[in-house]
Amino acid sequence: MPNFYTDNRDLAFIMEHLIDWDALIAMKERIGEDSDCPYGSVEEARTTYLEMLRDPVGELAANRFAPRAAEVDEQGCRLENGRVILSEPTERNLKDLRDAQLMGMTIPRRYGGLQFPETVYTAAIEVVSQADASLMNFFGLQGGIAETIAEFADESLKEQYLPRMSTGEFTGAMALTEPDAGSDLAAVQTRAKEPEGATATQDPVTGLWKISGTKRFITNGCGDVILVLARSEDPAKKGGGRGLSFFLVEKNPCVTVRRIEHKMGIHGVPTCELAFDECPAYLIGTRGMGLARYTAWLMLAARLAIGAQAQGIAQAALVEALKYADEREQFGRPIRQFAQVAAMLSNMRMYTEASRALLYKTCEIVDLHQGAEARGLREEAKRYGRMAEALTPIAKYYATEIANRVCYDAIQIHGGNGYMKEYPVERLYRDVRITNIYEGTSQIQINWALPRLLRGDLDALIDEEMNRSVADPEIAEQRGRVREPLALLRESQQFLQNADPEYRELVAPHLVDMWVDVYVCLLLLRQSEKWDYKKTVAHRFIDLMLPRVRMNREYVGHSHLIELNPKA
Amino acid sequence: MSCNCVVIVREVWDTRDLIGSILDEAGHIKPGALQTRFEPEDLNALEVALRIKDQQGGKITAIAVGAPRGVEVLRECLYRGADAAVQVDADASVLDDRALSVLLAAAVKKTDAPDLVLTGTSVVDGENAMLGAMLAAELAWDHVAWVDAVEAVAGGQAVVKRAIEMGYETVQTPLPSVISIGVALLEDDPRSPRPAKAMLKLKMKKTPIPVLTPAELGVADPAALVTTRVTRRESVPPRVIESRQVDPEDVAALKTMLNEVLKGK
Amino acid sequence: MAKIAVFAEIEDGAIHDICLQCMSKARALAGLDGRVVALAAGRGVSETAAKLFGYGADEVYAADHAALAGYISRPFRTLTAGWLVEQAPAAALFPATTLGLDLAASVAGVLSSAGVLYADDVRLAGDDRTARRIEFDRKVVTDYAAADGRMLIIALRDGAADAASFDAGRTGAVKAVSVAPDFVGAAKVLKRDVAKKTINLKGARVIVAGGAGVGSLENFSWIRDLASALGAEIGATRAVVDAGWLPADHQIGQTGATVKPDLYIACGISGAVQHRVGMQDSGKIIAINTDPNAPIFKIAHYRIVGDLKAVIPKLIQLLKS
Repeated sequence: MPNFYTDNRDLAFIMEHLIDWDALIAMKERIGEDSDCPYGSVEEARTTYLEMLRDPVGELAANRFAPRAAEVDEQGCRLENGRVILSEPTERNLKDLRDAQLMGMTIPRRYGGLQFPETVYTAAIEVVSQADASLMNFFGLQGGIAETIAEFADESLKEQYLPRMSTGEFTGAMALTEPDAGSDLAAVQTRAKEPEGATATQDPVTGLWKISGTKRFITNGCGDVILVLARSEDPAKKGGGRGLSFFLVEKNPCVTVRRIEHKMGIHGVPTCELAFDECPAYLIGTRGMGLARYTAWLMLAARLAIGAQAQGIAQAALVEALKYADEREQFGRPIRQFAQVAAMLSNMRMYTEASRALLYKTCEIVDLHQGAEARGLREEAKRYGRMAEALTPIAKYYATEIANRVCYDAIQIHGGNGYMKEYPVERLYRDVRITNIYEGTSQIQINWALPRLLRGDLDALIDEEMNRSVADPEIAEQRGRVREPLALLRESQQFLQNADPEYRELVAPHLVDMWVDVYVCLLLLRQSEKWDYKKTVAHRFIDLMLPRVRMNREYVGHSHLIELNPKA
Repeated sequence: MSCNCVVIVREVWDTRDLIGSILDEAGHIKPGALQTRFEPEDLNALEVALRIKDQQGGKITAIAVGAPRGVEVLRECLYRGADAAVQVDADASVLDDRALSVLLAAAVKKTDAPDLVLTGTSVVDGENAMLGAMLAAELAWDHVAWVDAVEAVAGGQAVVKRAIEMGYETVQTPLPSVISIGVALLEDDPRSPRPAKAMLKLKMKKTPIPVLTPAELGVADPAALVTTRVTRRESVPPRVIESRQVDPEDVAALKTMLNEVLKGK
Repeated sequence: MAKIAVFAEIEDGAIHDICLQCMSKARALAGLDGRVVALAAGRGVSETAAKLFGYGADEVYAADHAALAGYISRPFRTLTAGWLVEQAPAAALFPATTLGLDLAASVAGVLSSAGVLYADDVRLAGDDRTARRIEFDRKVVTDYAAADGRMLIIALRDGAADAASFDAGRTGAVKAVSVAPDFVGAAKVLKRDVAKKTINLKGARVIVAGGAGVGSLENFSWIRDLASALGAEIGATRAVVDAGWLPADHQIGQTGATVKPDLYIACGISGAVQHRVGMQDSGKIIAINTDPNAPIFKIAHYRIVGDLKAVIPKLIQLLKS
């Protein structure tokens, strides 16, 4: 029987050989200290994580979700009398996830969850997305939403909602975007009215706020637990982002789904326009921190999840392309044997592995950050926190852009057949297209990452890899080849320190690409120490990356915006 | 009415997609040449038991014969929702179905009052194909084989759907009975039994599995019960099929193909 | 000088064709001076059982009871085991049908005899009582010897021997079985839903077969059209029969027919092992499937990856021209 975890050798390799479980588990679990800790040793925890990825996650994905994916895509969702109706196969997928007790993968054990690290959850999201990208929007966003509640909400709210999110009885939605506030969330207009009589209270029973306004493009907006960003402060006194707070709304008649969008892809999940009319809501955390703190936190989690979604779609496209290129014969031989096709396939595989390397490195850092925070290790928490904030947008950007490219090439390899609905690549191509748009476009991710890169938040990561002692001369030699691009990168970082902000933004994609190219090489070289095959991957990547980094250095130094306007 | 089930599960050689010879010079199976897996029809049998439990409650006990490493399937049963597991500690690799059935019948009798004993009917090659029938004979219970679904359990009877040549039979069998499940066209499509439950897996990973020794089952030497011995094993030369891909768009290639296959007709 | 027993499965007045293979195998094992004894059990089987003389039996027994109308393990196994104890043959042959397989295993359990299902061959030489089976996905042939001179109980695989020919000159009197079957509180068959056999798949030279991948009853017209263009019989997988697109007598595979036509065209058939065992010895196999990874392609001589709705019309066109 196929299994989307064990069949994905690269993912299984990263999970088994690359993640530093010792460090990660030491931070996230208190083995022998916490009475509810179910593990007797680090090894036992690690085995449990990986076993869980095999069964139920990999089993379900390969044998239940994947076979239903075409039907899910075809049927989509409907809106009937204000009620969102999911497709029947999607309902079955959700039931399977609930039955397998997977809906609370990262929720703390005391609220009925599995309390797994983000690294394991992200791998599960990749595996599920490979089977059905749209299912990820239920499964993969649940974590971020629940974690936001677990992190910032009152104990009573946690007790009220988290156990039911763990069982999957409740699914979540995040209502941030509005018709006029997309990337610019500081422009949010939805109003939150203070509870009458009481002043800013957080008591969930007596202190219900009232929310009114319209939210748009809300994934799974018909979910049961909706986190809403709304304006709680007087715009005259505290305008912009500082006037926004974060609220929890439980599905009720005051929230109506006005319409669901007709989308290009991810048909299995409804994208809703929500109208809130004097809707009771619980405040989460502190007033005025809605955007800066809680949305930022939620977005980081969601971005990692979307990166994993893209990674899973890329894996699916790669598998389809390899299969097709083997089977399809033209001019008397399989098309895989033709040089251009072979090169495309190798690149698809290489970039898929490159983005996966970065994605799971990011997960590790995020886990170490969360662990340090939970343990009150302030120094480490700060260090890992800065890394996580810089790495997450880059990983999301890279994974989603690569996945788009891989799906594009997968169609190309299928030729005319790939353009037809009969082959799954057509669906994958539509599904993947949203990933570099939602939860922040690639451009937003780059803008988020740039100042952090210039501040040097990620320099230590590169230094750590450059300074590792390497026994294998072949790997050492390849690493020597990274010195030149690294110097160019550092030079460019330096060059932009004092550049005009407009100019910085213009060349930011080039700098981020340089950084990714350099760091990914190093990650692939590190993988080579554990798996010989990876030497060829790293070698190929370095060959292709060297001229690209030189080119990007040129662009960083010598770009100017010439706007083209034929009417001028 | 709740229904208590015993499910007999086996870890078997995975004989799909074998490449190259699996025998050594002496005609023994090469170590490492074959992987093992949860016998697929046993997994279906477990799924049938779990569905009975979902609908009407009851306790599921999984039983397997083997060394501790050979009975990981028991833990897999616990992860999927079985309530208890019992390992019969004997070397299953030297026993035939007849010897296994004697051990298992004694183990079933030690389980409190099962209404149904479920197991897989067979694999197509015949390996392990006799267990359910022999177990029923040993218990002196009724047996129904090739069952695709248990439709009802009530009033001291189970009603099951059995696959036969050219169709189906609906059979009513008294409790307790042994029911051997076939390839089981389970209602869920794709036809795969449920996977593990994550929370159960977390909870049950260290649960001790009780062990019964042959002596506790009243069998001094299980090997003495064996009725068939393997006297010779040989590799069968693989059939070489000249196979080629025909492009459906290529009319000339289709024509050549038809000419070849219809030659002389 | 061996004595060989055969269980004859009789349904609707006909002896099952694998039982005729068992008869010829038994005759060959018994030799000219040995004895072949046969048993039939069921309702109204006596008359048909008499034909077993013509197929080579020296003695024929029948257990003719209304309560044996449907096959149920417990009464059949006590009856058959009791009869075998009386007869004490060296080996007992059962057909590898769903009934024969279950009964052989049950009886071997009751008697603690040496049971081997799906046997491809049997060898008897003095105390050496051995059955041979090809197993492990046809990779290995294994000999199973009966331990300590036990009776060998075999379910013979379809095709393991030629069917016995009928000799009208051989006749005899069918004896009643003295053992009383135990019906008390036993299971019973409530309903039978079995198709009448209207086609002869086994004799067909060309078979066009459809699987679940055909997609719908309407699409099955493509299979019919291709079959009629080729003068072929129509076969099907269990999934197709379950879906009600074709009656069960079209089914090929584990609980259907085992066929060996010169040409087998598998349309929309993924090739699960349960189907493959019924058709893998066909002379030439053409497989049409949209999934390039379908297991059917592993045994096909011609692999066509494509939609049968597009491929079949082209084939019909070519056949007509």
